[in-house]
Amino acid sequence: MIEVQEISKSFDSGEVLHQISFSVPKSRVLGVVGPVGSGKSTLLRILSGIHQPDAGLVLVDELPPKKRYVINRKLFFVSDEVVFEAGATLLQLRKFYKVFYSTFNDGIYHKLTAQFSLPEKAKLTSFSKGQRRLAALVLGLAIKPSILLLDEAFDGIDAALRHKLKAIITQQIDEEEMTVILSSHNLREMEDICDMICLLKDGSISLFGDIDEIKAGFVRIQLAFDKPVDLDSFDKYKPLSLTQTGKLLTLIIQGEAEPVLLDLQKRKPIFIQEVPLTLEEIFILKAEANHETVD
Amino acid sequence: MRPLIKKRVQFDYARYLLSKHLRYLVLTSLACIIANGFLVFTNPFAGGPWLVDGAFFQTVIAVVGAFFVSGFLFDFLNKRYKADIFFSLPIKRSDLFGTLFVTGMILVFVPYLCGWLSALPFYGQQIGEAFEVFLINLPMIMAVFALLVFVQMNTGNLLESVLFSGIALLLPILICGVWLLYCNTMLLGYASSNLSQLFLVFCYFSPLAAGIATFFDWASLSAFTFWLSVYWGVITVVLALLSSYLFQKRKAQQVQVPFTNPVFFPLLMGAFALAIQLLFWGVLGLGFYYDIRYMVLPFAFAWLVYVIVDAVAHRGFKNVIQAGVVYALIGIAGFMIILPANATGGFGFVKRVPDNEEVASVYVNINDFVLANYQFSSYDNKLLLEDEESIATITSFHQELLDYYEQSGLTGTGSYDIIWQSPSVSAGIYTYPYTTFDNYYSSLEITYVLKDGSSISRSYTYPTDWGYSLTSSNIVRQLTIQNLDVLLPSRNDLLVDSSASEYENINGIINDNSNILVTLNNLTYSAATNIRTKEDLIALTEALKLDIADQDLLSAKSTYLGDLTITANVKETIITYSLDGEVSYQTASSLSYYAYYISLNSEMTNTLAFLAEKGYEIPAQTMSKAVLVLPMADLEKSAFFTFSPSLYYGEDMTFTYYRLTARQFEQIRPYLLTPGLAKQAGCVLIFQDANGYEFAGIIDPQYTGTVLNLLKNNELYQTTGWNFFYLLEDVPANQ
Repeated sequence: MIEVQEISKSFDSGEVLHQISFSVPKSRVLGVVGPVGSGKSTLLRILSGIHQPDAGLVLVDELPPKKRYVINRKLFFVSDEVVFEAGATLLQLRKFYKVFYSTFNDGIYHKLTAQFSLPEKAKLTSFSKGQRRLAALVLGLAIKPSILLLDEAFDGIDAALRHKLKAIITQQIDEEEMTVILSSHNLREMEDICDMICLLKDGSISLFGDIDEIKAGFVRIQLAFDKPVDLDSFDKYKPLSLTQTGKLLTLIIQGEAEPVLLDLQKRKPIFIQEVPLTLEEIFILKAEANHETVD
Repeated sequence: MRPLIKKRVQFDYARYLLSKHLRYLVLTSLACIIANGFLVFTNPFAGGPWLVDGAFFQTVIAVVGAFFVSGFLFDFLNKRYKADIFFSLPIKRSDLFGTLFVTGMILVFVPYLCGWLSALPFYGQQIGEAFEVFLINLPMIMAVFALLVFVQMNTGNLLESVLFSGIALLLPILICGVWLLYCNTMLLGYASSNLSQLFLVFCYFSPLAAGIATFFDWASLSAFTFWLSVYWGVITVVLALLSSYLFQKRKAQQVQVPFTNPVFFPLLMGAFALAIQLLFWGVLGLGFYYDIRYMVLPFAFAWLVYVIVDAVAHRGFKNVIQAGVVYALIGIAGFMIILPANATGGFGFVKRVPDNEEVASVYVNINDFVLANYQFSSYDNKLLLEDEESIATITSFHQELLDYYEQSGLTGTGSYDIIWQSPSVSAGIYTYPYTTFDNYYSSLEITYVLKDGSSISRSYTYPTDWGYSLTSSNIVRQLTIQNLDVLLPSRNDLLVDSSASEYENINGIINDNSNILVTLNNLTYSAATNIRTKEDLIALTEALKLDIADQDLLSAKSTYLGDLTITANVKETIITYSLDGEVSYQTASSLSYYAYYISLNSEMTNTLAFLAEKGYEIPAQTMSKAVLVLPMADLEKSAFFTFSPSLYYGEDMTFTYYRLTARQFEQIRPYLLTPGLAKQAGCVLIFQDANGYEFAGIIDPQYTGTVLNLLKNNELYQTTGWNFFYLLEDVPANQ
């Protein structure tokens, strides 16, 4: 369990995170999203112990920050830019991580390197960006961390491998009760793997929760009438979006769907149905509401 | 201890690092083995100082290696994404630092140890010394490594850490040089007691200085081996602890940020720029120390250096105003210390004359034309004085000299150029009828050894006549006698005996030039004789010593015979020519060496007897014409140089001229002062020999009345002019 309590962080350029608080239970996957400069990478670096928060606390399994080196035994962080020493090979890094992580599992390591066809003795500088990221993920998974932190984790990895990787991560979540926190710009991907989401805006949390619960909070209703209707009459439902294509009206609202549906039924539509929103659509709507774009 | 080490060093990680850098370890070890082991092994065959050759090179390798090792072990501090890896590892920061530091020490130390061990079987009798050098170099090299790591903890990227490590290592050596230059330029009489000792002090400031001293001044350093080793060992630990603290406090976002420690840059570069300011002040101020421009220029230059380096370090001029203000404050602080130091003679330091009771002994050396002690490399020859009377003479003269300087308005350098420019001295030279010419100055070195074990050294250059009281003391005679030994018999590089075995095979080329030439520049005659053996040289020296011991240098009691000059050839290079492996002949190039110069008079019976025994006859003196010149001024002192009569002075003065007959000339000669320094301005005897050469001598002032009485009927005229030699032309020649 990770518990973040009112952490703030500033750099010379200004405040990057402001009083962030949330908690992630075991075996859950939290996706961190937000525009460029919203503080995603900084948040992950604070969770991994690279940066120290200016204020607030990060508790992992109730261990205080002073026990950071103990926390880090349970944790592995894959940076957004995977850089190793010049001339380093996967084999050398395996030796390196085995020094620090007694949990390093050679079986997982060999299985994954074979699965992703990663040459052990080749210099990592000869790897593609995707291969380097895969190599880092393989090492991270091989240490069997309780917490895996992935910054832009799947960037540069092709779709087939990405799918395979997600399956492996999911399997490890199930088997090892691993908690994963990842940031990515691909919201569809987040939806596939995450069960919780954290939307950062200007260094603060603008949206946080279970994806299902978030999605349940937004309703898209499609309906049609046999004669023209006054669109202003739908304002009372405070729609986030209202569009008309021919006779088909699409109404998106935030909140419970049931009372709205019952009220709309009274207008005798010739067609009415509730269609679920994707996470991406919800974030776009939130961002548009704030006149911003989602990275 | 072991739990402490275990706690701070993660052995598995250390092993990993050592195995990772095994190739480096092997290569540098091989380099050290070749540098030291090979050179020591081949030394008996090739010749050469093993200590300098082998151990020096392997120490250089170790120091260069320390740069590399600290660079690659801590390079993650300079790379953002690598820092992510290291700062998220499950290890305490202090343990990570401890492991990296200890591993680094091993990587630096092992090659050095290998080099030393490889040479061990070949050291022979020098093994004790070699072991000492090893023991002292070890903590110094470790301290270099610790310092490099410490700089890395304060800087933000590799280039900066290398640059500022170099500055941190070299700064104390620069300061040493600057200190010497500044003090010599600005502080009247300043002289380092002993350059080696001063350098030894700086061995405590920079491990690099200590390393250099190991090889180039081992004799001085060896006495301090133990304490210096302990000192650098402690410094290594202190630097390691400081670095560990900074490492633990270092923020990950400081990667690539210039100067993670905001205090480090101003401190280091402030000291560096201040050293540059002093350096330029010392260089430019040499001869112009009272010119304000030569204070402003170095300050402006150092300020510019600081601001430019700051701009480079901070990647732009955004910090320029702050940097300018910071250095302005540093520079002004420097001025606030330096200017009063100049004015007060180093806060009274260089003006201090110890009380007689404080002094255990004094080493003195005087370099002086008049006293016939003028020679080359006389500074090697210091007279040791331990009796109370001699010590009192020196302290008294020391104070007298300082008073002269003060009267002349001089507070800064004792350089003769400066004395010459002093308004009172430059005015004074025109009022002295016979003295203070540009090159007629004396220099004095004093080193007091105090009863508390400390020492005070001073060095002065002053117009020769200022030294009258010292000249009249017995000390000068003692020094003159001592110089004879140092300058002649004890020198092994004089070409005395051409038949010596070393040159037997010589084909004759250097035979004729290999003698010591003794020349007597008589009043009217110059003659020379050769000394062909070392025994003769010793005999002449002993004769001179006996005679000088009986001389009163400032009293005319005998007849001046002339100036004895001893010139020798000094061996420079010997070239051996071989034919079919056999030595066919050798040639030697030599340097003419002006070994000794002394006035000879009729009382120097031992010397005269030696010369007579060697067939050297003192020729009879003749003169063509002579005058006695009496200055119309009553001046306190007058230096006069009998061997260099091209006297003149800048302003016209009135003189009375007396014409001398040959008989009167002979009558006056006994009153001629041989050293040529009188307490009061008196008569000058000027004469011309049969060949037209002009000579001069000063009459002992106490006999002025006697001499004038002899010449009362010979007054020629009174005249005013600037060159009293010129008037000799008006005197008819004696027949």
